[in-house]
Amino acid sequence: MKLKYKHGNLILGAVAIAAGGIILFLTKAQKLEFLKNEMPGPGMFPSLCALAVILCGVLLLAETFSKMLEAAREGKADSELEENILNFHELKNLLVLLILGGLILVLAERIGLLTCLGLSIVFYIKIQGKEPWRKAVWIGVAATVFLYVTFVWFLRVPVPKGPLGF
Amino acid sequence: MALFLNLAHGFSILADPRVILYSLLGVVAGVIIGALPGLGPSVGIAVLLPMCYGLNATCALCMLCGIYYGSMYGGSITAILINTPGDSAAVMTTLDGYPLARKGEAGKALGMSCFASVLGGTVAVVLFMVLAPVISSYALSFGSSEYFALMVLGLTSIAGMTGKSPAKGFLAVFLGLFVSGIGIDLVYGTQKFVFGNVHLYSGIDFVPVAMGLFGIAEIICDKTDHSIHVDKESLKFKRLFPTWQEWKICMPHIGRGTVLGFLVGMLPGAGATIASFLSYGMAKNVSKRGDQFGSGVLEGVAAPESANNAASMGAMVPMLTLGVPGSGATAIMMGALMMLGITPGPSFFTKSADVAWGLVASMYLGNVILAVLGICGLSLFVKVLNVKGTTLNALIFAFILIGAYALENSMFTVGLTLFFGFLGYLFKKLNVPAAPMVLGIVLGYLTESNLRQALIIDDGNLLAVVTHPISFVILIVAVLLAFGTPIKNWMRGLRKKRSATSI
Repeated sequence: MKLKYKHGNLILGAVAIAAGGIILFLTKAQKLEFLKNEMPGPGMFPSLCALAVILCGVLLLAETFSKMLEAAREGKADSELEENILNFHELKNLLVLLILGGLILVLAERIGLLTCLGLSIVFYIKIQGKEPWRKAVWIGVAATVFLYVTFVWFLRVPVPKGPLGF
Repeated sequence: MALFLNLAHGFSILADPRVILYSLLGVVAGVIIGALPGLGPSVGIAVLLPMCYGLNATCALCMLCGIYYGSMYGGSITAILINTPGDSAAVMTTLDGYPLARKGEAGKALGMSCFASVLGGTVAVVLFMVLAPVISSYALSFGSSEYFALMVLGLTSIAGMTGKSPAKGFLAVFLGLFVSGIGIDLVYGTQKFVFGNVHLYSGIDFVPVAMGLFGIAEIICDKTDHSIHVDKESLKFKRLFPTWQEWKICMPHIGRGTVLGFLVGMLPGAGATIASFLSYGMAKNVSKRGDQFGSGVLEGVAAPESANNAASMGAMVPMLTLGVPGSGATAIMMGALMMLGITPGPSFFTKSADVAWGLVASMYLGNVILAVLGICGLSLFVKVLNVKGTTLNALIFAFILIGAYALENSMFTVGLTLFFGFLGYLFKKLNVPAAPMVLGIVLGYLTESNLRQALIIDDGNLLAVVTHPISFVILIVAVLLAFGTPIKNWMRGLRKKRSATSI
């Protein structure tokens, strides 16, 4: 899987322009006025931010295009622009964390937040660290006890509990 | 005289054992986090923010400051032992620290790094104690326009000076400012970008954003895998202490590094990294054995280490006296203070005198703790650093998520943290600095309210903020800081072209 830095920059510039446009649209759709009774209205600050975001996107596109043109004119590739920014190891890590995070969001109210976090520690260490199950479970249990003592016992945070009472 | 009375009052606050305990916790955590490659003070403070919930402001601030200056020293441990700086401020320490370790003098380099950090930090606290109240009293006369200009200065300097592309820095700032505006309008009570979601009525707090952008993003990039194998002999207690001759050589460099570091640290956007670069350069220029720098000389460790610790103290001056943080770490600290009901700014030293002077006293204490831990706990830190990266990532991930939940007792905040973690990963890949976005969120409310107040006071006149002389000057400085580098690059390009055509 490849994505060059220059393409990433172009996508970022385009996304920034689109995001600014969406913010402006939403500001209007929610009837947030720029000026209300000739005084600054609730829409003033978001509109100014949106315009600035669009400007940044345009500047980023211009900056990237000018660097690409300069590299083409000089006949040699700009190593930074041509760099591949995607990395298999990071993408795998991202996927594992997103799945674990998603499962925690869905299951925390059902089986308890601490149980979910303990299990996520065990699975992460097993999948990414390739540690033996025994070690992963031992670390998971110890970490959960530490989190319980710190947050539930010491800071009195009412964490969602599961059928086992924690 | 008043200064000493205030300091005495600060030390009386330290009589509370909780303050000492949290200072100790902060320094220990800071040293460990600073030593882990890739995790700097911003990540450390963001990840450990949940520990502040329910604490009183003095304890919380003492712990956060402990993390901040502890991590400044911690960065040098891996820089010296494995040639990998724990954070960017320790980059210069690798130049002479690692060669010293290869010569079998790792202990001496670590010892000097610790003493230089402590001395730099302690002298910087004296400077902080003298300067901060003076700046505060001067800034008390500021109105909304001046405050708005100050916020703009803080935002533009961090956006213009962090990262390679100012456009990306500003993009992050404006996204942060927009996110800070989500919720109920502060004047009219209108819902802004809430879409009927009750969790968004009170707005988006900076904590899940900071924990996501710094903590989760760092875990995704997984740069914490490392192992340290050191000759235990070189870390023996006796070998950590420099000789009298070495002290004599290093002391002037520590003194210069401290003053330079403190002054650079006070500038918004500059920070500890630039301070350590400048201090190393200055030491190399003035040293009698400047030609030996890079081959393992002790003053090459002392100069940058004293500067980066002094800079971390200097960075707190604009944050606490003007309410304008100049770096990611101080932005998160300021957010934490606001979360605890304390607004940093000119009235900080008068309205929150207990917290302010307790903090000053705790800085002295923190430096003593750092000296003791740096010498006695070194082997323990090296052991902790050998924990496998994936195990550490799993533990930090769980800690961040439960911390995010504890903020509002809501799974929505956990989701937000994961979302900003994903965004932080994209930011990292595209070289978009995360600190300006956090600063945008922290300062967003104050920036908007001061702008609107200034406009209302001047009957809606949009030029209100530039017609006041102080705010005008501050805004000019902000513009220069923001666009100084691109203009300089553009002029350099023009000059290059001209010289090429003339040839």
